[in-house]
Order: sequence, then C-alpha cells, then structure tokens
Amino acid sequence: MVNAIRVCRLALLASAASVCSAAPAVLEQYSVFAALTLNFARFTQWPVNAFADSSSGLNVCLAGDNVLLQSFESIDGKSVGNRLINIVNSERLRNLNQCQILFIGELSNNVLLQVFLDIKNQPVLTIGEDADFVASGGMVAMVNVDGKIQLHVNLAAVKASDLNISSNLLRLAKIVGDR
Amino acid sequence: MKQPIVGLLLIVISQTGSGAPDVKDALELNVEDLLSVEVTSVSKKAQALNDSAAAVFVITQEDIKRSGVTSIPEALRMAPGMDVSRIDSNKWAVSTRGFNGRFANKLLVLIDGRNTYTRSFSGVYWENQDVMLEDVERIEVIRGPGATLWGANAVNGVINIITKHSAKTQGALLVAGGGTEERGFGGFRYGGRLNEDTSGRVYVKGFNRDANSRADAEPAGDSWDKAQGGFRLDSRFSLQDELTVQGDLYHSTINQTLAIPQIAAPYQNRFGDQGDAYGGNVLSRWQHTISTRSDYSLQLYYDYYRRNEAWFSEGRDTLDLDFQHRFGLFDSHEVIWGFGYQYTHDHTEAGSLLRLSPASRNDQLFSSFIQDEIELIGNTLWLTLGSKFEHNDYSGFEGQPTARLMWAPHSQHRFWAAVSRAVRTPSRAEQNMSILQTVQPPPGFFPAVAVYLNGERSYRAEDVIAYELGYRTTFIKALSLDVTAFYNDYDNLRNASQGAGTFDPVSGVVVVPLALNNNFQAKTYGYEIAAVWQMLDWWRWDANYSLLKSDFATTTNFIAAAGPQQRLSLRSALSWRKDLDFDLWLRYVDSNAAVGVFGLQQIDDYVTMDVRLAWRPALNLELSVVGQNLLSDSHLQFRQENQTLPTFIDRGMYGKVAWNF
Repeated sequence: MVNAIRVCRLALLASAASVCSAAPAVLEQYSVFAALTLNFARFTQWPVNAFADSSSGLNVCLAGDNVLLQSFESIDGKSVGNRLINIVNSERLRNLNQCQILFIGELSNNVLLQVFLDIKNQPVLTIGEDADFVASGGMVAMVNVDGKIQLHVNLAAVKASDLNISSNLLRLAKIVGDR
Repeated sequence: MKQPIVGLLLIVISQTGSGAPDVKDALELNVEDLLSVEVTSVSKKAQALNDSAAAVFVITQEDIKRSGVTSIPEALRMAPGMDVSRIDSNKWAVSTRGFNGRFANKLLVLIDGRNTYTRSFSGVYWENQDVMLEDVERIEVIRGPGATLWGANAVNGVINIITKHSAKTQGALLVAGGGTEERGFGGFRYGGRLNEDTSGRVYVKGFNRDANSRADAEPAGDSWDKAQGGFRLDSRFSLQDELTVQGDLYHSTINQTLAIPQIAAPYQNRFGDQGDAYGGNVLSRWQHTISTRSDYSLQLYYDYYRRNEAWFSEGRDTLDLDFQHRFGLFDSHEVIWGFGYQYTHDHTEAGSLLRLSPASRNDQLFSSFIQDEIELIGNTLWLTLGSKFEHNDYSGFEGQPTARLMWAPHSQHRFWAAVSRAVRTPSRAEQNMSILQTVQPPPGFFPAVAVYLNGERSYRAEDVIAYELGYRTTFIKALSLDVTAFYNDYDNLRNASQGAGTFDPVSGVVVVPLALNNNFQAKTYGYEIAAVWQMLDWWRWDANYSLLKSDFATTTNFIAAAGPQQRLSLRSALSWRKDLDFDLWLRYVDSNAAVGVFGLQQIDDYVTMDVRLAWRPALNLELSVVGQNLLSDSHLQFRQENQTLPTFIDRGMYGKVAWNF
C-alpha cells in the first residue's frame, strides 16, 4: 500500500494521473510467471515414474537469463504436496529429463524444436512465453496480451507426456490444438 | 527548480529499490487474480545481464526507434566507447578504443553474417551499408578483439547487425518523412508466408540528405541520395533444417567537394565531384540442428560494389564461404569450430589522387578456428580458450588466440577477464598504392615538391595484445551497471619513412617518396561504463561514459589519431501515456584531433542533443518529430584524412509517419 501511495504522489508531481487508476499495483511479469508456475506445479499430476522416489523434490528447470533465475528464487523450496520445489539452472540444456517443469525464457527456434524432441513423451511440463511456443510443440504458454497474462495450453502435448492438469486450472486457459 | 527534482528522484529510488513485496504479492494471489492483474516487463532491459566474457553492448530495435537515428553509424553512437564522428553528409569515421578515421581499419562489421569489410583499405565504406532500420532485431557491439570467432581485423571491436527473422516481419510497413537535413525519405516493407514452412519479406527504401556547411556557413556541397531494395526468405524445410536466403541492391549518388593536390599551380585543385556508388549482395545460410547442444551452419555469400569518384574508382567482387559447428562435449565443454574461404577480385582505375598497381588483383583467404568454453565450476566459473588461424595473400599465416574467464558468484554479479591477440591484415592500398599526398608550392626560385606515399609489398600485419577486465551487476532491481577496463599493446603499426627527393625533369618538380613500414608502437588504455536505470515503468535512463588514453611511441612520422579522450551519452526515454513517447539524447564529445595530409586539425569538444516526440493515434500508426544536433547551428565532428574540406554538421529537424497494415 505504501508503494501505491508513493506511485500516486509521484504521478501527481509528473502530472500523469492515469497510472494511479489501476488499483492493484502493477506486478512484474516474471514474478507473475513464477507464481503461475507454482500453481501449475500444484495442479498437475505427474506419473509415479517421473520422480526418483517419493521424497525427491519437484525440479523446476529454467532456461533463460538472470532475470528469470532471480524471479523464480521466490518459489524455491515451496511445498507441493509432500514434495519441495527445487530450482535448477538449465541454461545449458543438459539432463532435461530430470526436470518435472521446464520453463524456457528465450531460445532460438531451431534449439527449441530440439528440446521438444529430446524430452518428447517424457513427463516434463514445458512452459514458455509466447503463443508460438505451444504451436511449436510446447505445453503451456504464458502470453502477455496488452499487459495481462493469458494461459495457452496444448492439451494434446500434455496428454502425450502422461501429465494431467487439473480442470480447475484448465478452465482459465485457452486450449490450443486438439484436445 | 533543482530541489523538486532531487526530491522526486529520492522518492523514485525508495520506490524502485524495494523489489521484494512485489514478488510476495504475486505468490499470495490465486490464478484468477494473477491472470487479471496488470503486468509489466519494462525493467527487463535494466536487469538482464549479458553472459559473455567480453565487452558486449546490445542496441535493440526499441533503442533505434526511440533515438530517431536514420542510419547505422548514427545508431552506433548509443553504444559505450563507440567513437562515431560524422565527416559530412555521406561519410563517417567509426572506431572504438582509438585510431579513428574515414579509413579506420580496426573494426569488423557484419550484417547478417556478411562481412562488410573491404580489402581495399581494410575498413568499411559506411555509406554503402544500410538496412531497413525497422527490420533490425538488434545490433551487437563488441568492444575489444573478437578475432578468434570473427576473424582478422576485429582488432578493436566487432559490430554485428542482425535483422529480424522474416516470420517476425509479416504484413506491410510504410514509413515516410522529411525535414531540413533529412530532406525526404521513405520505405516500404511487405512480409508474407509462402507456405506453412516458408516466410519472406521484400523492402525498398530511399532518402535524400541535404548538404552541410563550411565554417563560414556556406553549403559544403555534400548532399547524398540513395535507393535500396532487398528481400529475405526463411524456410524450415525439416524439423532440423532451416534455410535463409537474402539479398540487397543499392545505388547512391555521393556529392562531395574534393581538395586534391596537383603538380601545377595553384598546387591544390578544389572542385565539386559527383560520385557514384552501387552494389548488391546475396547470401544463403543453411542451419542444421543435431541436438540441443549441437548444430552446424554453412553460409555462402556474394557481394559486389562499385564506386566511381574523381580521385579513384574501384569495383570489387567477393565470394565467401563459412562453416561453423557447435557441440557439447562431456558435461562441461562447449566447443565451436569452423573454417572459411574467401575469394576477392578487384578492378581499379587511377583517379586524380590514387593509383593501385597492379590495377586488378585476385586474393584468397583461408581460415579456421576452434574455441572451447569449459565450465570449471557449475553455473559459476567458465574458461574459454580458442584461436583463429588464417592465411591471406598479403601477410601470410596469422594466429589469433584468446583466453577468457567468466565468474558469476551470484545471479546479480558477473566478473570477467580476457587476454587476446588480434591482427589487422594489410590492405590492398598499403601494399600497392601510390598516392599524391601533398604538393608544396615552389619556395622562391626552387621547384615545387611533390610528396608521394607509396605502398610496400613487404608491409605486414599490425597486431595487438589486449587485456580486458569487466564487471556487470544489477545490484538493485531496475538498475544495471556494466564496467570494462582495457589495456591494448599494439605493435607493427603503420609508419612511413621518407626517401631521398629526386628532380623529375618531365613534371619539373622534386619528387619525395614516403614508403610505408611497420615500425610504430602504441599503447592505449581506458574504461567504459554503461548504466540502464528503469526509474519508473514509463521512464528509462541509459547512460554511458568512456575514457581513452593513448601513449604513442615517439618514433613515428605519422601522428596517429587517438580519438577523443572522453565521451558521454545520456538518453531519457519517457512514455507517460501509452500513446506518447518523449525522448531526449544528450551527448558530449571531448576535443579531438584529426590527422592527415592537411596536418593536425584540432576539433573542439562539443555537446549536442537530439529530441524525439512521437504520438500513436492508433495502434498501428505512429507520427513523430525528431530534432537532431539541436544545440548549435552546426558543429565540426571530424576532418577526413585527405580529400575533403572540414564540414560542419548542421542542426536538423524531420517529421515521420510509420504505418503498419
């Protein structure tokens, strides 16, 4: 709340009152991505063989820059059922089959397609940042449309990897491609 | 007036400094709320840290647009440490870390992988290089040697101009405008899909630029017009293969006032020259991806240019083949290696100033390189070792190794250090030229003296050992800082020795030959600082400062141009409403000296400012007004080494419409 007041005071100084009108403060895109990813971790069922054992953590692998890494620190160690989230820096795209969630920030298209080939039919939930991501074979895209995030889900790809996303989450998403 | 601004800044710092509540807020929201809250990604530029162990600065499409620049060299002024000086309307001197000039030879410039370097003088004809600026994805500016990956002549830096993939330039874009210096310009691009796997675009553009001024405010006769067109096709013909084919064609008319020495009285001839420059290129690149950690690419291009000027004319064909393969080895190695071949053929005609002998020459270049990036400590410490090896027809075999260390102790901090060797291979002119440098009028009874500068077949490559240290941080959210220090030790730099004068009875003058040699050394050192501050969601600052010191050996007969010691650039990008931009760009350039046949020319320091105001009445329509070099009627930025008279760059204003449909 203090922040909001400050923003408004500043806005008045700069005579641009319009920024005050959006009541809940504007959030930084990557912290929203991290929070949404936490929700996907909680509302997705992985097959039993996706984990080494019942106590192993849920690996959220990140392929992107320091901004992505820093934003996802906020969900490191959060509990998901009886597992804890473990953030893994996968910038080098190695050992991707150890990931339960793979968040891909920026990758050139040719490498991205190879990532999908590498983990094809393996229980890795892939999340990306633009609509093309699901069109190219990714599972979930968090797309910024005019300042708000929309979820796009490629349900066929999710099912092919033996994953199950709760319908509570799916009904908030735009389903892309075949069901 | 000062007090409120300070107060405002303080509020803003306390506001942006606290990043934590933001993250917590997000975690407390449920999915519905997360999807309905307004998000911002504007501070990303201020937070993202480059991961390479080199002094890299990226100029984005957004930077290009908001700066209001209308050419590639003007855009390069945004990068720290770049020494960009406009000689006149159609000529620039562009370098980094010193040794600038119209014929500067220590910077390598690539456009979509095509090397724009010409063997003629080991440099770039900037007036020949253009792209549809709206289609540029980014310009990577790498200060310091990049020879291991990029090749010879990347001595002081590499500029990598990368245009957008054609899938990202779909639809039509029309830009048009005009004003006082930018008399008129226009461009049209259309992008479409040929089939599911293939996208493409075509473009045409053209401009007419006004002449600048002499010191006495008379017109300098340097107006310029150019027309250019081109295309790009990208096809993904399998899951693992992508083919890109692109090309450009251009023609320009270059007006200039030449001041050329001549043997008869009045010993210098001044006249207006209308030069012609045209050319084109076609490039194809095939990229095959083997796995996430392995791919290779094969690139082939052909480039042709022709220039006809009163002082010299030349045409050059270049055919170039490059192969590159990247692969991961074990867990901790990332290897990249490749080879290249270049064939170039030129055809020159002597003009009133310069003659090359032989007039035509064919040259070949063979090169190969290997580099290994080794992860010594996972996600924390990397060592990069590599070298380029090449053989050229001028200086034979050259090796260009580098060692780089990168340390990321924390996600918000990066330290790096590098030692590299790079060479600048001899130009065609340095081995084969004869240039009439000056003619000294007869002192009384004695005959006039004509000084000729002659190339030497034995002229070798210049080399540098460069030591660099860098640090990058984004210690508070929305503020990033990038600092680089360097020490360059040059050897075998260009020098000239004077031969004995002989009386030539035919022309009636004493001929004094100057022969080129390699016995000049120099050391340069300095630092560059760049900062980005996203003060508010709608207000960003970009600032950079660079310092360059030089220490030249006293043995030289040439005085090398060190470049201005200090440069400062400060940009403010303000968008207090989504449909309005207000941009300010302030630049300071320290006093400078240009060296050439006219002797040492002192150039005063200057401060100048560009302003841009843009309004988007609809999402796909933008109207903008740009003022350039606003703080004086005209100012001198540089003086060319020879041929042209000092030209003062005029203040300019233009208006522009950009329509996407």
